Amino acid sequence: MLFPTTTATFTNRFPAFGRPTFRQMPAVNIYAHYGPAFDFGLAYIDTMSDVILLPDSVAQKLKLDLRFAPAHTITVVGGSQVVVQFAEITLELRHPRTPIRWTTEVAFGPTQRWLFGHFGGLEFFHFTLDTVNEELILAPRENLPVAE
Amino acid sequence: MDQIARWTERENRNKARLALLNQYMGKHVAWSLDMTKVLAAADDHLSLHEEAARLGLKGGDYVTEYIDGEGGHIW
Repeated sequence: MLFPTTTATFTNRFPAFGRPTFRQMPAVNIYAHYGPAFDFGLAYIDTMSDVILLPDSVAQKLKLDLRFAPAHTITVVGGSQVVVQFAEITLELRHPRTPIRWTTEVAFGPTQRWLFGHFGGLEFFHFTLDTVNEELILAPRENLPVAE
Repeated sequence: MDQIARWTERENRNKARLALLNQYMGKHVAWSLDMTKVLAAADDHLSLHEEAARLGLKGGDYVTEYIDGEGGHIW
């Protein structure tokens, strides 16, 4: 599955490297389903993130009840610790040729962006990033727990 | 398409997106499915869905994204 990369800006310019103002980021449009409810967002591929991390507001949109969901503390860039809660949902990557759905546990927390991390996400794909050609390739592995 | 035409197309696409990103810093936006137009914007994710519904958009008609604000980062 071939996806275009996404242009992301720097909010502060670097004092070096020719002072770039943007770069290409790997990101995919992904559906989050829970029963009949769904949300559709741009998820940034994050190889440093152990999990797939979605904003708390997505859980609200999906009408997920997280009151008794397992909680965990994760450390984010900069060292801050943040509490997240896990729930099982179905994710879907849409591509003109092959839509792919799989059911997995994702974390919900006080993030703004959708992050596509390792467990439940990248662990199920071969992943190639070509920033020069602005392309991202995700090829499903055999261990992808495909959902109907 | 030759290489120069491809680079020009990419550069134009990047410039157009950058102009939109600068316009919507700190906002949650609803992109058209080809990611070239902002269909709706709001201060938070749930308000964005309300605004999109108000504009007659259905859930699968748009992709949501948060645009970093001034000095902002992912968290």
